Amino acid sequence: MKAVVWHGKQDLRVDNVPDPSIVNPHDAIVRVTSTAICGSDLHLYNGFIPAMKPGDIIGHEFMGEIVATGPACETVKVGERVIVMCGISCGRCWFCKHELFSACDNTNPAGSQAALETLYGHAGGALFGYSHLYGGYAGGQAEYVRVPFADVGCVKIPAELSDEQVLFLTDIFPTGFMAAENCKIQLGDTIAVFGAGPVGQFAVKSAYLLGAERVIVIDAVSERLAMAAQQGAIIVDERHGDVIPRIEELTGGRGPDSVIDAVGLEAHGTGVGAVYDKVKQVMRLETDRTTALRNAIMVCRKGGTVSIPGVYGGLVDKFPIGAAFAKGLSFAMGQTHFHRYAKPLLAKVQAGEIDPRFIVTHRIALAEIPAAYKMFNDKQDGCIKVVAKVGT
Amino acid sequence: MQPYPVVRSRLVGVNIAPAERIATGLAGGAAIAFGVGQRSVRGMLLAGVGAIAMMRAISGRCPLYRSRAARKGIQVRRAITIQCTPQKAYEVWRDLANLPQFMTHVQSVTLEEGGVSKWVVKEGGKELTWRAELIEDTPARRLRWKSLPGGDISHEGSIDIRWATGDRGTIVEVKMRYFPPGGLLVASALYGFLRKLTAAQIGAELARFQQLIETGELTTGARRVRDLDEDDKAISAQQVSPLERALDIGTSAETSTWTGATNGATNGGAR
Ligand SMILES: [Zn+2]
Repeated sequence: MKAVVWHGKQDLRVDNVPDPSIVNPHDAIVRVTSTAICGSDLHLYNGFIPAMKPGDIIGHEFMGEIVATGPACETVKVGERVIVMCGISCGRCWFCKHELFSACDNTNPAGSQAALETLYGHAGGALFGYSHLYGGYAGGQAEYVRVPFADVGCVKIPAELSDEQVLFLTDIFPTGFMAAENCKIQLGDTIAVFGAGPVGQFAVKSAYLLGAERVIVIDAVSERLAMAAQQGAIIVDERHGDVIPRIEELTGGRGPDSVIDAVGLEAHGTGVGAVYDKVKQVMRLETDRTTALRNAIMVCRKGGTVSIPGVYGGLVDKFPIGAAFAKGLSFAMGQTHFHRYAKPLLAKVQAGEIDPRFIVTHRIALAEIPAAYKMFNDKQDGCIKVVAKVGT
Repeated sequence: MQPYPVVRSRLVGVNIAPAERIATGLAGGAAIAFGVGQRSVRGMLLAGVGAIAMMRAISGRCPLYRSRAARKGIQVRRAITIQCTPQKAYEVWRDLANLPQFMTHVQSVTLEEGGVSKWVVKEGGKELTWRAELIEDTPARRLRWKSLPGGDISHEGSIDIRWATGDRGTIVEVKMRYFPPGGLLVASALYGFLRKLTAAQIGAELARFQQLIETGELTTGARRVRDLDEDDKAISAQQVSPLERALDIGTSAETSTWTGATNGATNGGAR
């Protein structure tokens, strides 16, 4: 089969590789019909995620058709059209039973678990196509994928919905939704969203769905700001100087009730803090750049929540813990519990409450994915979300 | 998995805790700086002591700890919390022949007459064998065993099982202690085996135990059976196994075989 293979930093190729097979009893094989490039894939592309090996197949937003099932599969059937959650969860451990699916005890192999325990104290669940820290599972930018615990991770899709209407339920839509849900939105709330990438866009949509009065979006890319404005957000362009005074002004000096950091570890901020971060990151003294997070903490109103769907992987410096303490902020963060949200959000799509297709700016074929990464990374051609049709 | 107070290997490799290493290093550095700065015999002596402390901090090994370790043995301790009853966890451990399924360093455990078990570990192409006897067997609570004289290794271990709080399942705590023969003069195969016996290794084995009990399979990122590494392959072959039968994990549905992209896609379904 053909698959997008990671060969090194900014070196992706479409290679011919052997087809996957059923390895474990709860596995299924999915023939991919659509797959997308996620903002977090850029962290792999740019070499920010450790434990990648040349030859790894990447991609974690995908859907398709079940073509084989293992002997212990009970609900998924060959021929079914499904979306596949980008996190892998067993459905049986204490964490899965408590709907903390991304904290699954069992899907990360013992070796990856040991590495994650060293880094983080405890190991969470695995992800498709996201390094050997997260299980070393082959990803979805491929013609076929081995899907472990398929009964748990696959959601059946009705025929009347198109791939593009449901594909983002695998990752970015639940991620944006959980980020907004974590803000515990009340009547009259203003929510600020740092980062108008795909997750930020879904966070805007979700914040309004959950009853936010106003949403402010901060970014430095025109197309992204334009898309956010189209969704009804008030936009703050980072290129026009310090964002904090402007957000203060927009909120009557009070600050937003909650702030979402949808940027994560590759934040391209401006100012002294950003330069400091960049230097330390290049020197390997600090792994994560955090301009967005610092601004989020500084601007959030007293007693508000800072919700972090953006990915962080290591250590940060100059983290304003004093400001967070002084203002009594709450933090909510972490990998999304995708399985918790897929079905309720699918119902919203079916009911016409939301049409996720608004996010798609580029439609390509599998073979064009490596070039699309470069375009996405360089923010060229108004690129916000790339979807690849596979095998048609 | 819950991290438990971990007793690290005190004989081989790093035997000083990270915090102690840092403290030793800082103190050593200060002693060198201060000692050299004094430009006297006393100062130089102080700098020398500082240098030894620095070496100890950098290498993470303390010769003093080594001899103490040879007397006390290598102790490893680790616990895990899993979704099953204490009785079920007990049953799996009680049947020692199950252990190689999740303990990758153990080749086989066979039961002999009179509650004696024979352990075989393969390491660096060599086999290490010993016999052990059960010295305590409290159903759903505790197992304790000890090696008999005459084996390649002198070893004792225990499994403590208890309910966790609330709905959190069952805690299984493993304690193992190995006494290498001949103190520090350890044969190379034995050395290789002992080097792997860290809390992390036991942790990985307990993680596999949890995977088998909770899901009935051993997790792997391998894309195809062919890609499983040798260890995993051995495990995979055992997967529909006595352990699964012991756990009564049903594998009901039929296998639909996947024969590859070119001829395997028997579809025509939903789309
Ligand atoms: Zn789980």
